This record gives sequence, C-alpha cells and structure tokens, in this order.
Amino acid sequence: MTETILEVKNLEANLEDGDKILKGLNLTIKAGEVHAIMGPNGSGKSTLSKILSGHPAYKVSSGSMNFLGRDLNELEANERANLGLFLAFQYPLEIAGVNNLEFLRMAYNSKQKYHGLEEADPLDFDDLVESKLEILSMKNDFLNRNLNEGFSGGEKKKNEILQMLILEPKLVVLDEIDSGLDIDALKAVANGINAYKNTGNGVLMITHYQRLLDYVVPDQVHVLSEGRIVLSGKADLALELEKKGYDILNAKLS
Amino acid sequence: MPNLAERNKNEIEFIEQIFRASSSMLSEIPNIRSRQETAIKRVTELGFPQKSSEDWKYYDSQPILENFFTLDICEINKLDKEIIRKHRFPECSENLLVTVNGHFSKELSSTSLTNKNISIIDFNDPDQLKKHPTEEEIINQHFAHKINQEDSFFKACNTALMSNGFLLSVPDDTEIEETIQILHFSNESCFNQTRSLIHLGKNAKLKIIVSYIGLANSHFVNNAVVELILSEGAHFKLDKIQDDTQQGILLYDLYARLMKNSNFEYNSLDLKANHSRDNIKVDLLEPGANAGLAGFYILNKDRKAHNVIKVNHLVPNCTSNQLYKGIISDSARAEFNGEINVSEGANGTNATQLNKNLLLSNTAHIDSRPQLKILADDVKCSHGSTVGELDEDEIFYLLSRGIKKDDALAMLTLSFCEEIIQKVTIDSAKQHIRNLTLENLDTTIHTANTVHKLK
Amino acid sequence: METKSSSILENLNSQEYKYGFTTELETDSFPKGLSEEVINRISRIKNEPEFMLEFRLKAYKAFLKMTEPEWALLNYPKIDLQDVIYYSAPKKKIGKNSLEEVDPEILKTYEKLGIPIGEQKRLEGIAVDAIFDSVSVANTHKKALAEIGIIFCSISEAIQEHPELIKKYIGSVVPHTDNYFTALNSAVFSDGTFIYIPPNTKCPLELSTNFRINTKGSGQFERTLIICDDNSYVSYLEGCTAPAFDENQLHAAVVELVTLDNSEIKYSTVQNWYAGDENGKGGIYNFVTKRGKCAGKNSKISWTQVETGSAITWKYPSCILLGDNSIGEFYSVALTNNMQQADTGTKMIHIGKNTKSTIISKGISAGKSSNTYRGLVKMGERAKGARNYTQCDSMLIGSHCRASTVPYIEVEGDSNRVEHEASTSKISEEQLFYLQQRGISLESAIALIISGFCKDVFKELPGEFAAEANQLMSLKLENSVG
Repeated sequence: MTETILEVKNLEANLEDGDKILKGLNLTIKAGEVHAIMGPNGSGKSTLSKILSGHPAYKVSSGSMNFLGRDLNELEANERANLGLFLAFQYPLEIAGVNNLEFLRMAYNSKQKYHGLEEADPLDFDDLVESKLEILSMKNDFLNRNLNEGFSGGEKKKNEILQMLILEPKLVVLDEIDSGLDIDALKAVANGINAYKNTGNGVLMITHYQRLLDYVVPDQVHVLSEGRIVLSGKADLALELEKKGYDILNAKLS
Repeated sequence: MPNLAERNKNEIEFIEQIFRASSSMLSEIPNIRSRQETAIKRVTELGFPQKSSEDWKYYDSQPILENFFTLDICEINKLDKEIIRKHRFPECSENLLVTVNGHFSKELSSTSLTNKNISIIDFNDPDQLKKHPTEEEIINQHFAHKINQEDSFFKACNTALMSNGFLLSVPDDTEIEETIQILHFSNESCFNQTRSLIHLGKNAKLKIIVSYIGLANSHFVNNAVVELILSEGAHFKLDKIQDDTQQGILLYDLYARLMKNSNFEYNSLDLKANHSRDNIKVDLLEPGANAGLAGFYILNKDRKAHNVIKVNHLVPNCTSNQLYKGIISDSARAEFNGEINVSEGANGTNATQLNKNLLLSNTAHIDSRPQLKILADDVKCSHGSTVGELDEDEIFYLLSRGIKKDDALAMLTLSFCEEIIQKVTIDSAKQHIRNLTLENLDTTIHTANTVHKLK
Repeated sequence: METKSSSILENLNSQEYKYGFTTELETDSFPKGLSEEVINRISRIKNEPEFMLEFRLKAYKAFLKMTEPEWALLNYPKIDLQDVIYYSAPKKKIGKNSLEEVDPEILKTYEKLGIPIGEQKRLEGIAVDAIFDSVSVANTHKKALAEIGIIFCSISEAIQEHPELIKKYIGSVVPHTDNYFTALNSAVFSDGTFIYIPPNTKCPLELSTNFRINTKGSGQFERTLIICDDNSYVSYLEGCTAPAFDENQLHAAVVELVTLDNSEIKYSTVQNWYAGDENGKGGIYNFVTKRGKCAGKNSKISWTQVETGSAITWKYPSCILLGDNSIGEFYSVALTNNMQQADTGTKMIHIGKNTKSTIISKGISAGKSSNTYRGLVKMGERAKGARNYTQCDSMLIGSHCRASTVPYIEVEGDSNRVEHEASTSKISEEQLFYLQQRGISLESAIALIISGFCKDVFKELPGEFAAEANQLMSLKLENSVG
C-alpha cells in the first residue's frame, strides 16, 4: 500500500481573532503524487500553505491535519520542518547579515540533530551543496551572499528550491513558485522540482497559472474556492481552467 | 522664572520691554485676552533662548537683542500698489491677502475672496466675530493652543504682543481650487508679530502660497506664528517663500495638528533672508494622517538659515517625510535639526528624513542633526544626511560634452534644488524661485569655479 | 495581533548573569567618601612622585567646580559621590613578579571568569593584565614583551618606572577638565593598564585587561594609557565583569590612546558589567571617557565595542584626527534589556588633511530599556578632503523599549564629505516564521537574526572574541518563556 503523506480532514481555520478562511477543507496526498491547487484570488490558497506549515498568525478551529502519522497541530513550525514538511515561500524573506551558506548548513543540521543523525561539518556540507547547485544551474558566489538580501525575484525562488533539495523533505508545498519568473528561471525551478520528486515523497503546488504545470505535470488538480476544495480532476482540468477561467466553476457546480 | 540676574543687560531690557508693550496690546475679546495674559507669564518664565538648550545650540540670537527693534505697533505705511503687483503671482491676482507689519490690510487684499466660501476673520474685530459664531468657536478652541505649556519664547512673545491677525477657515467638504497668495510686508526697525490661524473642515482642500517680503534695505524682525488644524480628510498645501531683502530676520513658527487621514504638505524656500529660523512642529493626532515637509535654502555672504523640525507620531499608521536641501557658500551657515518622535503604541509609523547639503566655499558651514526617537517596535523609520560638493564626475561629464564650466556648475546646482522647486504649486512661483536661485548662484558659482580651478 | 512569537519577543529576559558571584577576600578599603585627604592617601599608598599628586589635586580642584552632565537621554538618581569607596585592594601581598604570590582566591576568581592567569594555563597569543577592584593583581607575558621593548604593565607600575612617558602623555588626550567624570577620575584613579609600543614594532600578542569590580560599594576608577610609537601596531582587548549587588556601583574610567606617525591601535571592549536585575535594581553605572589622538600622519585608531552590561552606559569612544591622512573608526554594538539605559556613540574630530572616519553603530533594545546613539562628526576648514561615513541601525524587540539616534554633524569647507544613514527595524514575525519553516528553533532564529544585524561590528573583533560576543548576545536575550 502506498504511504499517505498528508491527510487533511474538514479543516477550518481563521486568522487569530479574524475571519474564517478555510471552511472544511479535505485533501489527501500519497507518496509519489503531485497535486496542484488552483483557485481565484482570495480563495485561501496561500493561507492553506501557511496553516500546514504552522504560521503563528493562523488558528485551526476544527478538523485535522495528519502528516506522516503525526498531528501537525501539535507541532511547532520548526518541528514540522524537521519532520519533512517544506514550504517554498511566495515571497522569501531577506535577512540581513546572515550568510546564505551558513544558513543552509544550520537548517540542514537542525534536521540532522532532530533525527539523531550526525551534523555535517563545513567541508562535507560544501560538497553536498555543490552537487545541488548544478541541478539549478546556479553559480557558487550565490552562497556567499546574505540570505535573499538583494536577490532578484528569480534568484530568491531558485534559492527556495536549493533549500528544498538540501533538506530533502517528504512533502513540499510550493506557494506560487512560478510567480515573477522568466522562462529560463521557470525551467530551472521545474528541473529542481522534477529532480526532487520520487515515489517516496509528495508535492503540492499552489499556482494561478497552467504555465508551471507544463513542466511539472500534476496527478491531480484541485480548485479551491471560498475555503473549500470544490472541484478535483486530472491535469486536463488545469487546461480547461486556463482556457475558460474560473467561470466554469459556476457551470460545473450548478 | 529664570534668574534675570544671570542674564545680560540686553536680555533683561528686552523682556522688560515686552512686558511694557504687552499691556497696550491686550485684545478686547476675552478669550484672546486671557491667553495673552498667560503668554506674558510664559515669556518671563521661559526667558530668552540660551545656547545651552539643544534646540538653540546653533542659533545666534544676539542680533535680535543688539538691534533694539521697537516692539510698539509700527505705523502702517501706505504701500505702493506697484510693490504688490511686483510680488503678486498672476495666478493669484484675485485671491490675494496682504499684511503690513503684521497687520491684516483689507484695502490691499482682494475683495473677491469672501465669495469663495472661505472665512477670513480679523481677530481684532469683535463685531465681525459676533456675526460668525462658528468661527468664534474655532478661535476659542484653537487660538494659542495650550499656551500655558508653550515652550517657545518667541511664540509666547507673539501671542502676548499680537494686536492683529486673522483666521482663515474653510468649511467641511469644500475645495478651494485656486491657490491663495498671502503677502506679508515688513519695514524698518520693527519687531513684527504676524499671526494666523488656519482651519480646514472635514474633507476641505486648500492651497496657499505665502511670501515674506522686506521693504528696501530695512532691518526688522518678523516674528510669525501660524497655527494649523486639519480636520478629518482635509488636504492642505502651504508653500512659503522668503523673499526678503538681505537685512531681515524671519522667525517662523508653524504648529500643525493633523486629524484622521488628513494630508499636509509644506515647502519652505529660503531665498533671501539675512537670517531665518523655521520652527515646525507637526502632531499626527489620528491614524492615517500624513505630513510631507520639504525645504530648500540657498545662502551666501554671512546669511543664516535654521530649520528646526519636530514631527510627532502620536498614534498608529501615520506617515511623514522630511526632505531638506541646501546650498551654502561664502561664510554662510545653515542648521538642519529634524526630529522624528514615535510614541509608544504608534505602530505602523512610516517616517523618513533626509538632509542634503552642498558646501561651495571653504568657510561655508552646516550643522546637520537628523534625529530619531522611537518608542514603538513596528515602525519604518530612516534618516540620512549628506554634506559634500558638486560631483567631480558629473562636472567632467558635462564639460566633455562641450558645456562651459560656469554653465555646467549652474546646471548641476539647479538640478540639485529642482526636486524641491517642483513641489511648489504655482508655475510662475517656480520660475520666480529659479530666477532668485540663479541670481544667488551667480556670485556663488564664481567662487566655486575658482576653487575648482585651483584644484 | 498577539501571537506566540510576538509574546516571546515581548518577554525576552536575560539569562541569569553568570559572573555575578562575589569572592570572599580580605581587603584594604578606604572608608566611603571623597576628600583631598583621600586623594593624598591614594597617592601615598602608591608611593607616587610629586607630579602625580599635583596632577590629582589640580583635577580635584577643577572637579569641585563642575556639575554632572545632564544632556544624555538617561534617567537615574543623582550619584552620591560621598557614598563610594575610592580605594579597595586585596590584603594579601600582590605578587607582580611571580604568580605564586597571588592570592589563590583571586586565581580561582579569574578561572571562574574563564581567564586563566596561572603560568601553566595562559591563553595562547594573549597577554593579560588583571585588575581587581582598584589594583592590578596579575600580568602575564610581561618579560617576553619587554625583550622587544614593549611595556605592558599596570599604570601604577608605569608611574614608578616610566615617569617620563606618563608625564608626557597623561591628560594629553583627555584633559582633566574635559568633563565631570574625567576630573573625578584624574583625582582618584587607582590603577589601570599602561602600554607603550616602541617604534617599528608590531606587537606579537593580543594585549588584554580584565577588569573585575569585587568589593561592595567600591567604585572603579581605572586609567588606561596606550602609546603606539612610529610605524607600530597593537591590538588591545578589555573585558569587564562585576558581582551582582543590589546597590549601584560607579565605574568612571578614562582611556587615552596616542598614535604617532604610521602607527595603529585597535582597541576592543566586551563590556559585561552587571546590568542590574529585571526591575532595574543594582547594576553598574558606567561613565567612561575614551579618546584617542591620531597625532601622527597616516595613523589609525579603531574602537570596537560590545556593550551589554551596565545599568547606565554613558560612553563615547572618540578620535581626534590630527595627523594628515589619519583614520578613525568606531564599531559598536550596544544591547539593552530590562531597565538598562545606554547613551553611547562617538566623536570624530577631523583636523588634519584627508582624514577619514567610519562609524558603524548597531543598537538593540528589548524589555523596557532605552538605547541612544549620540555621535558627533566635526570637520573644520583646515581638514581638506575629510571624509566620514556613518551608519546607525536600531533594532527594537518588544513594544516597551526606546531607540534614539542623535547625530551632530558639523561641517565647514567645500572639500569635506559626510554621509550619514540610519534605519530602525524590528525582528519581523515573517522572518522568524521563515527560519522556523526551515527547521530552526525560535531561539536560534532570534539569535541568527541578531547576529546578522551585528555582523559588521563583530567581524572587527579579534579572533575568537567574535564568537564569544555572539554567544553573549544570545545569553542576554535568552527567553525565559520557552
């Protein structure tokens, strides 16, 4: 039987003392699967990614999120990450004075330590990083800059994928990874995702556009609207949405 | 009460003179009169500003003491209409207010103004006040606001000694499209108290351009005080041009209080005063208020310009910007002393402050103090200050394109100040400012040019 | 929005101060109080030459006419100078020549502080002068240094053995009349460090002084004088700790540096005096005047400070750039937490031609503390081609603290340039979440952001002290909420 990586049941969530954003969401991702979530602006797509990864601004009011047999709700954001949940941010943050390479190693070693594994020394870690850089056709000097500081939009997104490749998560949530990318950067990012995905892990892509799905083909496409998944289908659903817009929702649902 | 024994003879005399003069200046209107009486008390309590105070550290107030200006009401000279025509911007010929030595002159002001749904009320006219209860209420509420806590000596002087001034009030939801011009004239040996109160009702909009003008080669002090209240959603733009002869001293005190989502834009252009001091205080009292303060000073000979600015972010989500630029040559001196104060809890504050100076001679002097005092953590505040000369590479670039050195220098200097000049509302005023700047630069550039040749 | 990480930021508390222990020692202490007699006694105990006593008495006369400065953004009760012990020394004989003579209790104290001064345990590459209350108790590597002509000893010893150097330089950078606290220090200073680097010598070791205030009620008034002769170089580091007492203790030091032609002094401070408890009880009042004079051409003075202790910090390490082409630098991290108050910065006085200065200041305020940068950049018309670059950044943690930036830029002359930049920021929740999402714990995430913020300053610290400074920051901000 294929391993279930993520199982979300009847999830309701809201902003701390704010409006309800998710209103009974169900989603199951099994090992080896690639899922895409699409949906109009304000449907709760980005919120879902933040709730899964434990952003402090959101509160789960009911329902469950099960990740590899653990209740996500009981875990801190960093524990979720250490267990293998990775969120590629739509807007990766800049942190002044923090060296990119040192940050990568710190994140990597946090995970190693969490699992009781040996931490990597700088030399071994360098080798690991070098091998990943090639996949993304990134230059070495990238590592000696400060974390995302002064990076272009494309560089930031590539850096997210680099982190993903190094941390080897079980589930990766890509929040509009394709926004603001030119075609070359998009290809490099897609290469990274394709290099990562295998039969043992899962991918959840949140996107507005079909464009990314040409390079990373999803097994399932879901449409999120007003805090719930209202429609699911195969890869061709994305094409249909691209062509006809979200208006088809009304037609299909009525 | 300061110990007068420690003060020098001139100061004691000055304060005594204010005391004597003030008794004859008391208004007939009880609410104004009582505040004047408090102001006299504040004058003696505060004492003449001392250099030991951080705000007056760089200001030399001796010229005010040494020149023995008369505090009595200066006789209102008949003004030649020609002079008014010379200083009036054509766009404003129908919207003109004139004061002479601090006195509002009905005859010289345009009569059409009152048709424009805007009230102009003379403080010293009880009859007029009686007819306008709304305006009377505004004066009661806002004139000499918190005078018992007033910390500016000269503002207290103004309140004590003003015999005349006006309220300019725009009712709720009223937009005055034309720009109003106010001309303040001063002449010989006077220590003038110019006073105005400007009140904008909810969502009201108003633009004013003010000029302070000295009459031919006269020594005088113009002690001007402006109190400003912007109600919710009001927009107000104020351009102030100092167009004096080179003998005048201008003390300008502006206190603005901004309510919810109101917007205040202030541009100060110091082109000619012998020495000037701007004391600007802005209180952002309700969320969404925005203040943009800009200044440009061009100084030569031994002229002085002081800009002392305090922007107080008292509530969350307000924005403010300060941008002051100066060109200083000969042995002129400038001070920029800007402060951003963010109170506890004023989160979402966004405040910037920038002061840029060009020094064009070896004895030109700048004291720049951009200050931040912050008591809230969720804020974006930045400030900067630069002092330098014209960029050698830029000069070279222009020369290499065949432009003459004088022209290159003029071009670069003018481009330095154009950022501020562009903010001025009226086109003819912009041109006037450019002309005055170039006139000033003429001598300056010759100096600068020699310096560059020597290198 | 009250979220978990923001409430943690609100409640950041410093970890218990680990150097707050007291050493039980018999001491020779004067009774509390300041008078001409006290000054005479200090001078007599130290067997000083006549000129030193004169120097002290002249300073005391000037002091009597001065008043405590009030312009700083600091709020504290007036210091009662009659309630201070002006001289306190361990009773046992002080063995300057052999460490066997040092009281074993003192040796133990320094071991606890992590500064081994015993012969066997010397730190690699670092020579240490240990100052305990009012006197220097140990000084390592002295002989080896003397062989290449470097004098590294206590100032008391230098007064005895090198009076000509003392006479020439003491008070030459910071005149006793400079301010209230320098006048006081000049009158009553008890010990301190003296360094002289002869011409054409690069000091092979890091020189270091460790200051320890031990006796309750005692003030520390040390005096440091460093002279770097032509074409020479020295790097010096001082560390400061004190026991945790409920009363405030006064520390009023004077440090003078002189660089001659083509020489350089690098002066680093890691100040971790006791800061008082979270309610502001106790802690050191740190009123210090530090100033360097780049007297020679092409000389350089560089100050690096990490200020984390003290209830009150009033400190402006400055440079007088007198020699043509001389360079002044100031790198500072000041961290205040709980009820701490710091008003600190620098003065860069450009006098010589083509003089250059750089100021990098990072202020971090947490708790209910107040942190002010105050700095002067002054260029006279003689200083042709002078340059300054200043960057002051503040970080606020929590919503009850205060950060102020108060620069004074006074420039004359058309060939001088100044650039000043400042910004204020907070640790954003989004940044913390980003780091946590990569598996980094909240505590480590805060530490990482702070160390990034301070990086430009820490990289100026010699060798392993940068790592130590990073650790110190984390300790000071470690949260007790968990």
